[in-house]
Amino acid sequence: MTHRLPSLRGPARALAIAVVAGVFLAPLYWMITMAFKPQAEWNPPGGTIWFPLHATFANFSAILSSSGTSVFEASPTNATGPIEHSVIAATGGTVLALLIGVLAAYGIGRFRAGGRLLPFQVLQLRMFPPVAIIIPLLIMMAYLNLVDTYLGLWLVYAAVTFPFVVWLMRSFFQELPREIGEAAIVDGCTHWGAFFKAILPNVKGGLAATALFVFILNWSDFLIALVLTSQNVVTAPVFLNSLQSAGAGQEYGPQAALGLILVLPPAIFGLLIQRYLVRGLTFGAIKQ
Amino acid sequence: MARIRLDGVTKSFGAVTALRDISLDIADGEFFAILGPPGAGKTTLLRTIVGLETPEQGDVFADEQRITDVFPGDRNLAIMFQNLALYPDKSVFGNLAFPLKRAKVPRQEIRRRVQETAEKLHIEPLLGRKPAKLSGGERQRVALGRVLVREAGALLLDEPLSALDAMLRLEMRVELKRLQREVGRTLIYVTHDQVEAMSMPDRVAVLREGALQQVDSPENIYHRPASRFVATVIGSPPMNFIPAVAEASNGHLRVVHEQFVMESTAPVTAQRLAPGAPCFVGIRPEDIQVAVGGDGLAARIYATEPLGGETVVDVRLGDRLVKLIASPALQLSIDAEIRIQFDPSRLHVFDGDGMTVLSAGGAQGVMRLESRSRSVGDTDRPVGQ
Amino acid sequence: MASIRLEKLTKKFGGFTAVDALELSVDHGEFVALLGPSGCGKTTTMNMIAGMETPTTGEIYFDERSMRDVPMGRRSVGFVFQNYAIFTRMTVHGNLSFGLRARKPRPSRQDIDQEVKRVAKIVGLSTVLDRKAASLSVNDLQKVALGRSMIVKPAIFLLDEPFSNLDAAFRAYMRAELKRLQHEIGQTMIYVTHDQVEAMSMADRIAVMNRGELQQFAPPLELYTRPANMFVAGFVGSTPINFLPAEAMPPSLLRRAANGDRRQLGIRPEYLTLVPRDAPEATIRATVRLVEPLGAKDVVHLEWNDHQMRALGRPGQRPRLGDEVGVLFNPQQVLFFDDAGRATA
Repeated sequence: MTHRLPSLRGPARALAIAVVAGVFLAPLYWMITMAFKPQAEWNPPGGTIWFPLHATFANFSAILSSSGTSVFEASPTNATGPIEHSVIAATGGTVLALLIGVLAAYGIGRFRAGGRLLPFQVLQLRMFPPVAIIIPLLIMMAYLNLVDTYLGLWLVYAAVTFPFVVWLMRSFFQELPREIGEAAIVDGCTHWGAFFKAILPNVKGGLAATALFVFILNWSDFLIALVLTSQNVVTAPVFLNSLQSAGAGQEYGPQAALGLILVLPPAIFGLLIQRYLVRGLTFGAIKQ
Repeated sequence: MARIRLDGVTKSFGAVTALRDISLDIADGEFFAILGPPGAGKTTLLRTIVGLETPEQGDVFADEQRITDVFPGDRNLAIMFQNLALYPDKSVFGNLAFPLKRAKVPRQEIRRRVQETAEKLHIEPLLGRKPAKLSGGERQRVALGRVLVREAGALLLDEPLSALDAMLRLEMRVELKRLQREVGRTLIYVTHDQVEAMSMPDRVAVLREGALQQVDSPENIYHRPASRFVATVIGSPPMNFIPAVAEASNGHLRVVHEQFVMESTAPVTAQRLAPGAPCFVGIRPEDIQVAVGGDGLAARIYATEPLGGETVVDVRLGDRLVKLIASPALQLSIDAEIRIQFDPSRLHVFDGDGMTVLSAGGAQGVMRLESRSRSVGDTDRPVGQ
Repeated sequence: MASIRLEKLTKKFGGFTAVDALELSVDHGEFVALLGPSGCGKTTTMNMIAGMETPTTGEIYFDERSMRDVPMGRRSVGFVFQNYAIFTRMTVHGNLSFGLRARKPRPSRQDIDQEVKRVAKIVGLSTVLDRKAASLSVNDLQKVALGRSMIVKPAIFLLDEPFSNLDAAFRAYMRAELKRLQHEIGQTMIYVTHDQVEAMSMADRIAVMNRGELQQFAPPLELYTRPANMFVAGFVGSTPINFLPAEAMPPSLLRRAANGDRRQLGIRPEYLTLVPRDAPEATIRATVRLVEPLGAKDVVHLEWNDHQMRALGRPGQRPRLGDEVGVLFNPQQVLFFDDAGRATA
């Protein structure tokens, strides 16, 4: 008989789950409900209101247009600019990471490019927390006149997510029998032809999942954007943070609305690619 | 239609030599099989011919043109891999059309050739489907179609039937033989299955650890093997090898065993077999019979394997285990003492290193066999356990 | 050695029934094979007998004692697998004695040594006892796996396709050895395989399974001459049996006084004799499509009224492609099956 690990059953189990879930879900819940609360309900003297009694979209319109309900009208609360910057920065970084990473993954996965060590070296790039190098990075970017530009963000985003692309795509490439590429070659393709016509079409799923994963990382980035942007390409997370310290700091509603907007893409994409990710991350671990 | 020739091809992977000095000449339109145990280098050989591997030494020729350095796609050779490698993202039509598109064949012509090939292989109704929706047998035929549609000079097939169940394999063997004849193209066929190697090709090359052992027609490989290894690789149950000793006898080959003596009836030069040298007598199970009368070599039954249509009987002859085939009707019990007879026209003699010294090969009168135990009634030599 | 009895043994994995109400009785010292194509449930059955899987419903009895609450470690079964997990760094001696050394109380070194030598002699490893397992050939490794299970004297031996990694010649050798071994030590053995030659050559009785259901449980020759259904008839036998629709056959072949439908006729290739085209005794006339020389015999592929069939020929009398020949059916060996595929009289 297989051994069973001791585990909680019944009410104790339900309680444990509720506690852990609660810790994670509570802030999310707060934010979602706050996004729909009218100003009167943001912080009423009586205590917190847990569910919006008069739900409204006012916060969304406030955060997305220049005319706000803000008491402190001096500070801008229009988030459409930053959101636009986020989209461009995240997309550009993703495309760049994919361009370099997919080709690298193919070389490493199929042709053992770089020998036995290269895959680990690539992975090591990620082991290094970006926060450790963020100041030198800033100085470097300043030297190159790339601070507060899209190009600067794209380069750093690509560099930081490139190891993920390699890690994920490598296992998707390895999943494909090598004979498919070889069959294409014998059928008359060049190496490039075989790659685009026979290999890539068969990793579409993995490619999409990797792209979305990288996009989520770039979209959610705060630290790099904080350091490398100041005015021109301020991304949405940085903007949201700036609302804290500005006069609009008490405007919970609109901030929550922005937060909700920002959380939507990762949530949706994440659900879509969940299965693919597990496959890509664990596949290389098992020897076929 | 291409004549494929290999000249001294050697291929290594790091410290491992996969192919040793292989020289082969495969005629135009020949059905040529490469047979050997797993790891012998058969797939490497095929991949070297098609250009996916480059030999360190030696050359590959197609119609006497040196193709050793030519890119695989330009060699006019088609290969079917053991795992089929169908393009999962393309339909059956797309799979068959792919090589033709690469060759810039006009669209009408592509459609015609794909249709024709699909008809030949009975896969027309599947043209719209993707590989994932096909059964094992259907996929096999699509993979075959992909190599046929190209009308390449030669077709290379790597164990094309190994993934199929017994019934399907039987059908496909017949199909393949018929197709090859119809299409008339050179076919190089790799297998480890000796039934396939016997029944289909014009000639077989037996490969062992990267080196060629014998290249000959299946009949000759079966009846006149060049060595013990070749004799073992074809024929199931495998050939029996009975240790014996050579003796001097004025130019005739004379081999002595505790229970029998063999002598060639014509003079044979066998320098490898000096008097007193150890050797082996080879005889296949189907060429040994249970003696009905009292005549024959004394043996004791060790085990019986009833296969239904025939029974394989394992007997102890001296201190050796020998297998023979008997009719299922025969009542045989374990440890019973019986007498067995060898067919003298099917005897082989191998020297101590396993190389063939003499093969009767089905020819009558090549060898004479005399049992040394006297007939029933006299004291029998005790059969050692 | 023990007897084994399986009573309505069933195993389901979610919606999928791997083994369906299996009833089987293995006697003391019997060599039984579980034979069937991949996915038929033979390995799952063996795993349940061993205790590695728990049945969904049904009972397993060893010597009439229920094994329901007996965990795997206590069932006294010896295993030999396909990938035998030999300890490569240990010597052969060490590998063989492993099971003994793990016992509590641990037997004396002399006793262990004695047992190892005994087992080594039986499987043929006496000369390599001191070699490291990593240096052995595949064939010898198989013997170590066998010996290692034997030494703890289990009541029952379970073997799961142990020879599938070996080359053909050695497999043929091991079949005789294993059969002989089982005869000598008299152990109850259950052997799982998809290779009918293996099952036929070694087993006292064979349980043929398909899709989780038992098709027939009988000695080899009975499976061969009196198969219970078309599946067994088609699965057992080196050259596949011929199935032909009964209605197309000449009436001389269809015996009278039989109950049950006759939809399909089955006859094995070796019970067909090729005779000259005009020979009066020929049952039918067919055309030769292909002759496959297989060394000891030829397989002659014939076509008759769009039906494909196979007969055996002898190398001396090889018909030519396209020849018309007469085919004589041995009437004693003709089998009939109803439209559900079951054998009828």
